Amino acid sequence: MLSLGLSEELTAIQSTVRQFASEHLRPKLRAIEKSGLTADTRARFAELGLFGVDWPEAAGGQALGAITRAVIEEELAYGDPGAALALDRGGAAAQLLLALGTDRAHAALEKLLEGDGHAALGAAEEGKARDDFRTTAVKQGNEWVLNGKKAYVLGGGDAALHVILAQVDANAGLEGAGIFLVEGSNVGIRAGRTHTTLGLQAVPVRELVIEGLKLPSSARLDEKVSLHKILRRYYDRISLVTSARAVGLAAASYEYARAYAEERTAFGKPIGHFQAIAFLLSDMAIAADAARLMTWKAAWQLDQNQPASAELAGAQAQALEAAFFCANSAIQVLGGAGYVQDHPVEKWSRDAKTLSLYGQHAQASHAVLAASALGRSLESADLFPLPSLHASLS
Amino acid sequence: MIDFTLSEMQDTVRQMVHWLAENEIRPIALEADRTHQIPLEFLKKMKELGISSGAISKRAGGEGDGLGENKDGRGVKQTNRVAVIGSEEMAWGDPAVILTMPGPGLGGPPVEFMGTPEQKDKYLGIFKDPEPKWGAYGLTEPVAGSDVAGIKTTARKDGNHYVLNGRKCFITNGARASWVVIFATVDASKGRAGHRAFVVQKGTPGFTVGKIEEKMGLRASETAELVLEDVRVHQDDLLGGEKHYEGKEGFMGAMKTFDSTRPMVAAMATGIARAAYEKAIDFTKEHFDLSRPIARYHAVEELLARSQRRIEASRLLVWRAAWMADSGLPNAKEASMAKAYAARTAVEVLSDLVQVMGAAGVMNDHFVEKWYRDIKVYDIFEGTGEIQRIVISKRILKDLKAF
Repeated sequence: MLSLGLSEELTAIQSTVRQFASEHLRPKLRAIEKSGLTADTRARFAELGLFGVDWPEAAGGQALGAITRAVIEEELAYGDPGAALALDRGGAAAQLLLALGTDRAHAALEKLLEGDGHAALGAAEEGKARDDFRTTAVKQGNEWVLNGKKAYVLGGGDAALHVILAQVDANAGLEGAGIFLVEGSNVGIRAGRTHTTLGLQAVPVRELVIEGLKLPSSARLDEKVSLHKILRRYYDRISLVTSARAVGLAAASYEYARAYAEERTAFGKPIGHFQAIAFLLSDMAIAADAARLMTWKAAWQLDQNQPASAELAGAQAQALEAAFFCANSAIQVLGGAGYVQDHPVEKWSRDAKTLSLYGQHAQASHAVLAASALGRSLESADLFPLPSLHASLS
Repeated sequence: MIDFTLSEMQDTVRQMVHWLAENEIRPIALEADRTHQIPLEFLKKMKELGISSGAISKRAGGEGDGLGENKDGRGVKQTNRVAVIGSEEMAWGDPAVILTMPGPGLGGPPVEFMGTPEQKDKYLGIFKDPEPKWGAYGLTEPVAGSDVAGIKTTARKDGNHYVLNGRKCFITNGARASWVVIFATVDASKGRAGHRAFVVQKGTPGFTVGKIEEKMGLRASETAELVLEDVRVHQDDLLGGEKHYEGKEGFMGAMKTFDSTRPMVAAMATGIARAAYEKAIDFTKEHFDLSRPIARYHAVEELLARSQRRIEASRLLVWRAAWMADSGLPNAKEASMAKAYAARTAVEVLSDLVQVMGAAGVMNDHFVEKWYRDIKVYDIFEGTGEIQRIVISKRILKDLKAF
């Protein structure tokens, strides 16, 4: 019936998360950036019972849907986008398992939910030039043996659960690749060097060294399914979360700059009372609101079980544009104060750039949108030829 | 509750208006742009089909908007949502032709909201006539537009009459209108409290048409200058009568009605951008460069995709503003956000899409060239983009009264 207000239930969830974020994330964002989340913050978030809120019941989740997840992620990212990423123990690995949707994948997710560890996805590789992954999986008797190296793995090495993409059939590209599950620690898998990154530093980005990693034959999760199809669902799921976080980042930047512009005076009046600043703030408000509406629309379509790849891609591109614009403009509004680390806006600007490389990057989103409009297969858009980054599969 | 499903009525209106836009409006648009004329047969046909540029209440012999009592599935009125959905489709047909649809146009709302029952019968009753007729709205002057307080046209009481003097400009359908709502001041020192709205009939001595403007776009639409020299208007033609202006609400009440027109204008800008986007998609599929359709180039995909999502964002901002109005929520900020974003977006989208089409994009036998010219004014009329940002600024920054 074309209605754009949140339900009472969702409004309550939203205000709970907002309060948590304002008490536990925003005031500590520099410490979180430097050293990650404390056990206390993790425990307080766990008390809210919101992890796995959108997962199906078969995976131990609450099946509350995509809009609920979007609202939660926005509020967490409004507190701090890096913290939002770190609080998501499932990360990209969980999204891939959900995209798979098999009993085995759901069982692994349920176990993750019950524990307190995190999951990591080893997909991207440095210098990958062909469609094949350089990491290989070879069947030896009843075992798989994996060898190779993965790049840009968020939280890799010390994860409770690793999901690894490896080449099974040479020269067959993605269709010859497999998805492998590594539960618990294993001598065949360890962290390599930790990358120094631009933003979202609350989660370490590491190399993953895989040497003679032996796994039972049941570790392969994707037999008899098309990786291209799974990939599409995976990117869709990531896009939703990225969009919501980008909206939170945009809204936080806008609100921070707006409040600053009311307090800071120049030439005898608040700087917000100069048109150049006020109009910029107006455009920031519009950008954040438009991105939120796009995100809700895409989430709503997901919840209606309607095809939503194009809408999710559109929402993500719109939201990332809003995040860049708002974060960079916030620095401008704060001037020198925005550039130094006494205020969070310089961090959010770095976070925005990093967020845009998570999952389906902006150019790939546009390729999906264009493919959809032109009646082409969306799967071809997955293969958009840009260098892969963390949580990118291709 | 978040729900993006159109109600049955909203969807029916969308489909009906789209049919009209595609089959009646679009086919005459290019020729109308060249000749600056709308064919009389078209106008008569619109009249026969009952298409009007503004709702006319039942008591004045019209159909009424039929929407006041119409509720969506949740029992919330849906007038504004239906209006923006219809506006997008109508403008998809052609933005210039639709401004010439017979009916009271922008003159309708002040008569409806401020007029006495007798005035409504008298002015809106003329639209019962089977011949196409127009009303118009005369506010803007050479030195006053959005800053209404600055209007210079004067009204001096003389017995049972008022004597009007001044000039109005950029008046849509100003020359063909049977009557024009003219805003004037009885006492410039009183600001808005001195403002009065009169209905001035075509042919009243001293009321003449100055020049008809030549414009960048919207060439099929008539934009006239109106000159008032000692025009005698009977006090019965003072909208709402003397008493109406004693309270504070009189004039301000009429201005408030324009909060609901901003989402409609934003919806039109969205419709035009969408129309151009669809043309560009078709074009890129069919045109080859270096052995592949140009749509296969990522640089072209980028422009198309960016246009697509920004058009969608415009539509959602419009829908939100309309939904808020229907739900009785104050929406001045959101209405201006929709107008500010949709208009600027449409201007940029049209520029990008002309680029996508290359040389074909600047030929005037393609619609995008025309729409590229038409669209610019959407960031200007009904409050420029800057005015919209002033409205927003005042609502997001505390203690900001004016710049």
